[in-house]
Amino acid sequence: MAAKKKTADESRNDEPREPQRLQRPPAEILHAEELERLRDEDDGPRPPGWQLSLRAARTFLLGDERRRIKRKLVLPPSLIDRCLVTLATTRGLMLVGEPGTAKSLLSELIAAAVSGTSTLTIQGGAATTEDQIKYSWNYALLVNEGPSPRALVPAPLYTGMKLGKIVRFEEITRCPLEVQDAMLSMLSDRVLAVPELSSEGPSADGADPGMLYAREGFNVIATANTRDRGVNEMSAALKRRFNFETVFPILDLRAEMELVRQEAQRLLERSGVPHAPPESVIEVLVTTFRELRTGEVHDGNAIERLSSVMSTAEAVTVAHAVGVRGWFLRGDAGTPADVVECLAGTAAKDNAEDLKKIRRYLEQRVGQRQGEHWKQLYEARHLLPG
Amino acid sequence: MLHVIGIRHHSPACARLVAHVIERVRPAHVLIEGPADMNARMDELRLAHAMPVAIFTFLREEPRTDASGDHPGRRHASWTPFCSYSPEWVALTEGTRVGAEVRFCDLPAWDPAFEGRTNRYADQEGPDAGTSDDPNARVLEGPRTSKRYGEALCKRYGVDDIDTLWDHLFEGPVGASAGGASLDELAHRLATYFEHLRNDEPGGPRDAPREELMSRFAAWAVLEGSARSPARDVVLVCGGFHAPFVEKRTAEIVRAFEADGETMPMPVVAQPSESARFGSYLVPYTYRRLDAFAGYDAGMPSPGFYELVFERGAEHAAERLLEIAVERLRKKKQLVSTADLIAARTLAEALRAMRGHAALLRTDLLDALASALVKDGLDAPLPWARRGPMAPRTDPLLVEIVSALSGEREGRLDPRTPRPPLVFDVEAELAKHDLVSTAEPRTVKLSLRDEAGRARSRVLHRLSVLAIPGYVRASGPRWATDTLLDEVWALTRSTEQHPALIEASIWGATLESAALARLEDALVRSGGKLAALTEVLGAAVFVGIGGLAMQVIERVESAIANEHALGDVGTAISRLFDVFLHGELLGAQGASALERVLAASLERGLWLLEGVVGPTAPLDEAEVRAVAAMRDVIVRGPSTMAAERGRAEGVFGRRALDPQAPPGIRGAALGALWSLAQGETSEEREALAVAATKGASLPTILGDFLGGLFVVARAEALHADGLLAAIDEVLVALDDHDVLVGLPSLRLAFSFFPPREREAIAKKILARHGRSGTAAHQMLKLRVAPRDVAAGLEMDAAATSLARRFGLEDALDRGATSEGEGA
Repeated sequence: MAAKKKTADESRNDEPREPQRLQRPPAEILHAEELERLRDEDDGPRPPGWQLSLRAARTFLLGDERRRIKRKLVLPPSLIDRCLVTLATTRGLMLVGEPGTAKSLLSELIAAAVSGTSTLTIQGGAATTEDQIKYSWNYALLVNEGPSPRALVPAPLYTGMKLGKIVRFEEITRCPLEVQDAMLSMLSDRVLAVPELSSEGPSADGADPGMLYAREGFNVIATANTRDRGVNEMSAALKRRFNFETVFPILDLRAEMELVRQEAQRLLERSGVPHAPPESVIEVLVTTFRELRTGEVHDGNAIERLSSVMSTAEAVTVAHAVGVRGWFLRGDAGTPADVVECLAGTAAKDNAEDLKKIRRYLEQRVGQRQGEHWKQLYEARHLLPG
Repeated sequence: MLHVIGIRHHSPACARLVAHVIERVRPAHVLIEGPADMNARMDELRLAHAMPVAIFTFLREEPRTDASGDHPGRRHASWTPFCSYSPEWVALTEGTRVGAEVRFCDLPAWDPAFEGRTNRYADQEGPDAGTSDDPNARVLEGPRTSKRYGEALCKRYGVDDIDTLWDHLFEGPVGASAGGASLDELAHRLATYFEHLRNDEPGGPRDAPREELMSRFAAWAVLEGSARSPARDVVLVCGGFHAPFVEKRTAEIVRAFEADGETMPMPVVAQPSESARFGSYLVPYTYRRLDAFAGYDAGMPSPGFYELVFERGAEHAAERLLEIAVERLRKKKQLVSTADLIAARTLAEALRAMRGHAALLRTDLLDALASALVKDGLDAPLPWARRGPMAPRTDPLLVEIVSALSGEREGRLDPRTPRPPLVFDVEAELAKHDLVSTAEPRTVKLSLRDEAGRARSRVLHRLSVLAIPGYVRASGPRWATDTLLDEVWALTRSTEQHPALIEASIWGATLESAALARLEDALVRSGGKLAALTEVLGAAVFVGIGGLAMQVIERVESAIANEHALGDVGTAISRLFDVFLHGELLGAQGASALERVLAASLERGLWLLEGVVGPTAPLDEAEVRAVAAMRDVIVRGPSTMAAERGRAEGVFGRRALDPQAPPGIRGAALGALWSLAQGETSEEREALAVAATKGASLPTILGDFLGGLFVVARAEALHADGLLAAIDEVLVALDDHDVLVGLPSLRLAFSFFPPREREAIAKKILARHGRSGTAAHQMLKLRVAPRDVAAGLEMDAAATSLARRFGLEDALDRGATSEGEGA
C-alpha cells in the first residue's frame, strides 16, 4: 500500500498506456475509467481549477458501491473531508504519520482526483536542492541565448503553478531547511520569481516575465514522516502555511485484517503462489503487529513498542513472505511459525533492541494465549535469531 | 390510540419532536422510559430546578441465607440524568403543561436488568449491549445485526462513527425555512432508522422484562384513554431501540384484554427483598459528569453543545460554540490567531457544504478547528473520530476544544426538594457512633484494635473523604495496616457542614456510597497513575472495607497493567500484599479479587523487571524493594501465586546474570532466587550465585549489586556460606584503588544489616581467613569518621605506591588495607 515514490522527471513523459503493461501505473491511469465517469456525472460546484467537485473527489477516494467506484483507502472519511477542503482553501496540506500509513497513496489519489495528474512530485531528501523544486536551466541554450523561457527547465513546482495543478512534496522534513524555506513565498504569495527572466524587460502584454503567478487549482500536498521528526524540523513560518493532518494506522482490527488479507493475496498471486494466506496466519500477524505498534495488548497490559515501523504495509510484506516461504519451501500455505522468522527480518531489521523486545513479547505474552495458532507461534519462538 | 416516539436519549432533535407530538395530540397519558418507582413522587420533578438534575438510585442488599438458599449480596448505584433538552424531560414538562397524566413506565434502576449499568440513558446499539465481557472476542465473531446496520450506514454516508451519523441524519435544522426536514419527516426518518436497528431481534434477558413492563403500562394507558369520552390518545417516549417492539407488544396486550372484555389494572413494580436498603432521590447534576460516562454507559456526547442546539437551533449553536472554544483556548494561553479563526470558519463552511448539511454540525466545526489550529503531528487520533474515553497523549488543544463542547453547567435543586438522604444518613451515623460535634470543639480518641473504634474511625474517614468541614484527624497511622493503632480526631461544628453535605449528596445517598463515589472520582482524576492510586487505596481501606476498597482495588488492576515504573509497581504490590495479609479488613469475598489483582501486579512486575536496563545505574531502592515484594508474594502469598514461581525464577535467573541489568537489580534478582530456594542449596544454584557475583565484581557496581542482594535476602545471605565466600573472594581480589572507588556503595550495602548481623558476618569472614572471631566486634567500631578512614586509606595507598616505586614494598601495609574491608 505504500506508494512507490516517483520523481517528476521519470514520469513526465508518461503517455496513457495500457495499465497492465506498467509495473506501477500512477493513480490517474490506473483509475482513469472511474475518474472519467465521475467527471461526466459530476454536477456539483467545482473549486476553481479543479477537475472534480469536492463531493465527486470524495466519492472517488471513499468509493460508492452503487456507482461502481472502488474504495481506495481504509481511512476515516472525516480525514479525507478535511484534506479535500484544506486543498480548496489557501493553505497547503501536510500529511504526517508513521511510515506505511498510506500517506503517499492518499496524496497521489487526491492529486489525481483534483488535478488529473499525480506526477508533479518532488521527492524530498538530504540532497534535494532548490533547482529540483523550482526550475533549472538548459545550459547549452542558456549560454547560447541567455536566460529565456526556452532555456528554462521547469521543475514540478513551476509546472504546478503554471498549469494550476496539485504538487506533491514527499518527505518534506528530509530536505535541508533552506530548501523548505524556499517554499514560503510560493505558498503565501502564490508567486514564483525567476529573476533571470526579469532582465529581459516586460513582455508584449506588459506582464513581468520574471514573475510566475500561480493559476487557480495550484496547491501543495506535503508528506512528512513522524519517525524522521527532528531530522530537519520545519520552521514555524512554514508550518503556518500548512494544515496538518495526522494519518494513523488503521484503528479497526477487522478492517486491518481484511486489508492485509486482500493485499497479501494480490502479491501472492503475482508471485505465483496459489494459496491465499490462512486465516490463522493473518490473525496472528495482524494482532502481533498491532500490539507491538501500539505497545498495548488486548487485555490492556502495556508492552514496549518497537522502534522499527510496524505498519500495515509491513504486515502485508510479512504475510507475502510467509506465503512464499510456505509454498516454495514446503508446498503449503504458510503457518504461524513462519511469522516468527519473517518478523525478525522484516520487522526487527537489524535492531538488536527490537529483537529483544519481540523475544520478550513472545515469551511472556504469547505463551499465555489460547488457540492453536498462538501456541504454534509460541513454540516457534526459538527461530528468532540471536 | 398510542403514539410511540422512539428517541435517542439526550437528543435535542428528538426533544423537539416529542414537544411537537404532545402539542398536536394533547394526550391523556404521557409515558416516559424512566424509573416507575418515582411515579408517586412526580411532583418533586416538577419543582423549579436548574438543570441538569438526575434521579440517583441506590440499592444495598446484604448477603443472606434463607429457606430458598443462599442469596449473594447486591449493590447498585446509578443515575437517570435529565437536562433541559432531554426528550424525557421535555415529555415531562410538556405533558404536564397540556394536562396529561405523566408517568414513568420502565423498571426501577435497582432491578437486576440494570445490573452494572450506571447510566440509564446510555445509548443502546443492540440487544443487551454491555453484557459481553471480551471485546476482542466480539470483534472476531463479527458484530450483531444492529451494529452492522450502523456500520453500513456509516459507510453509506461516509462518516466516521455513530455519533456523526446521528448528527448527519437527525440533528440538522428543522423546517423548510431553515433548509432542513420538517418534524414529520424527522419522525419518519427516526422510525425507519430504529426499525432497521432493531430488525425484529428479540430482547435479551435485560431488555425483555423492561419492554414487557413498558408495553403493559402503555396497554393500560391506551385502554384507560379509550374508555374516556371522548377517547383520548397516549404518548409513549422510549429509547428507539425498544420502540418498535413496545409498539407491537402493546397492541397484542390491548387486543387480548379487549377480547376478554376485562379491565386492566395499572401495572405495579415489584419491590426488592425486605432486607434491602434502596431508594431514588433527586440530585443536582453536571454536564461534566454527563459527558464522562464511557464505554457501554456512554450516551450522546457534548451536552454543552447540544443545549445550544436545542435553545438556539443548529444554525446558531456552532457560531456560539466557536466563540466559547476560542475564549477558552485563549484563556489557557493557547495561541489562536485571527488568521486561524478565519481559516477555521472557512473550513467549517466548506465541510458543511461538502457534507450536504443545512447548518454547521458538531463534527463540521470540530474537524475545521482541528485542521486550522493543530500545527503538528498528533500522537493520538482526534477524540471525536471514535467513541470511548479520550486516548492518552491526546493533544491538549483538542482536549480543551472537547471540554468546551462539554460545557460547564451545574444543576441546582429547588429549595423545596426533599432533602437528599445523605443528610439523614450522616446524622444517623454520627449519632449511632457518638460522634456528633458540639458547640465546643471536641477531641475524639479512637483505638483501631476493637471493632467499635474501627467503625467510628470509618465514619470519620468517610466524612473527610467527602471534604465535609469540621472533621480533622490530628494523628493516626499513615497506612491502614501500620502498627500504630490509635487515632485522634478534632471535631468542630460549623455552618458550612450542612451545605457541604447537600453538595456531597451528588456522590450518593448514604455516607458509604457517597464516599465510594468520591473516591472513584479521585481515581479517575488520578489519571491512572499507580502511585496516586495506591494512595487512594489507602484511603479506601481506612474508609470502607468490604466492597468499597474492593472497587478501588479493581481499578488498581487496570492501572497496574499500564504502569511503567517498576518502583511504583513494587510499592503497589507490597501495599496490596499488606491488605491481603490483614484479610479481615476486606472479608472473605475480598480475598479472591485481591488475589487476582496481586497476580496481575506480579505479572506486571515480572514483565517490567525483565526490561530494566542500565549497566551502571545506581541502586534504586524502590526497584529493588519491588523485587523483594514479588518474592514475598510468591513465598507467602496465596497458593495461586506459587504457580508463578517457575516463571519468576526464570526471570530472576536471567536478570541476575544479565550484564545489561542495573547492578542493584542483578543483586536483588540473585537474592530473590536464593531466598526462594529456602536453604536448599543445590550446586546449580550456588554456581549461579558465584557466577552472578563475579559478573558484578567491577568496583563501580559491586556495592550496588550487594545492596540489591542484601535488601532482598538479608537473612538468607547471612546464612549462606557459599554466597559469602563468593563475595569475600571478589572483595579480596580488589586492589586498593578499586576498594576506594567502591567504598561508598559498599558501605551502603552493608548498612542494610543491623550491627549484630554485621558482627556475625565479620566472624565468618575472619574464620575464612583463619583468624579468631573474637576481634570481630572491634572491626565494626570506628572511632573516626568514615571520611577520615577513606582519606587515610588513600594516603596509605599513595604511600604504598610511592614505596613500590622505590622498591620499598612493605608487607605490613598490605595487611592493614585488607583488614579495613570488613568495616
